[in-house]
Amino acid sequence: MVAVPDVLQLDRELAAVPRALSWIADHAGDCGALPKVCSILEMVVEEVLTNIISYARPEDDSLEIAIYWSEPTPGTVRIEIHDSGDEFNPLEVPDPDLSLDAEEREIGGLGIHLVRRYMDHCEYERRSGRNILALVRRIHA
Amino acid sequence: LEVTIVQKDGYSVVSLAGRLDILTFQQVGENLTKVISEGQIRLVLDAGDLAYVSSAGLRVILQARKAVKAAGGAIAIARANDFVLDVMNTTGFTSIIPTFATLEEAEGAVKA
Repeated sequence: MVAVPDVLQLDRELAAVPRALSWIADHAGDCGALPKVCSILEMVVEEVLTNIISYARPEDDSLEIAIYWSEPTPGTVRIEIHDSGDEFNPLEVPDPDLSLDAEEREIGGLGIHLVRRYMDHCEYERRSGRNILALVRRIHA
Repeated sequence: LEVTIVQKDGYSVVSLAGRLDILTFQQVGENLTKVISEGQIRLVLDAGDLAYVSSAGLRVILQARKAVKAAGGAIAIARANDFVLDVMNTTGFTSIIPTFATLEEAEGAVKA
């Protein structure tokens, strides 16, 4: 079990995404997550990082991103994603209308919808100039 | 990610092997756009070796679906793994794009 969070610092570049995902996959593998759960954890982290990297102000060279991995209880993981960008709570993004046909469908909001849908618990907080998104999920179901 | 395109009698099979994500979606999108603009508008996406998909990947599939529909064609997905299928279900994609367990069924669905 990883009681004390392990942390990965990332730069603002697309190459940060595969780095983060292999780090997540390694941790998920180490704690015995089901392969499907491992893919789910990678996907939600990809969605959150992609959002942060695409929506941060272009002139914001000092954008800092960090990911924390911990296992607060056996069989549960908690992933926190911190970024120093403008205040933004992704959990307030409205769900896309999934009932619409392909021709009318809005693409936006799909990523964050997946995050909310696949995690057991999500919480957002703005602290010390950072956006902090915490994602919690069981790893055996 | 590896994209392989095989033209058959009356349809084409586009096989995706690897990860369809923020790093590879453009490559796949370009391949699909090219295939469709060449008139191959009946497509089976063979996801048998597709390990992973994210919303960036779903976006590309949705665009391809729009393009083939506009041209009077059809698209279906074959052999998606549990994870890919689950993501497609969760986002309502399976109600827009038919998915099949075998290539044969998907081929039957897109053929004219």
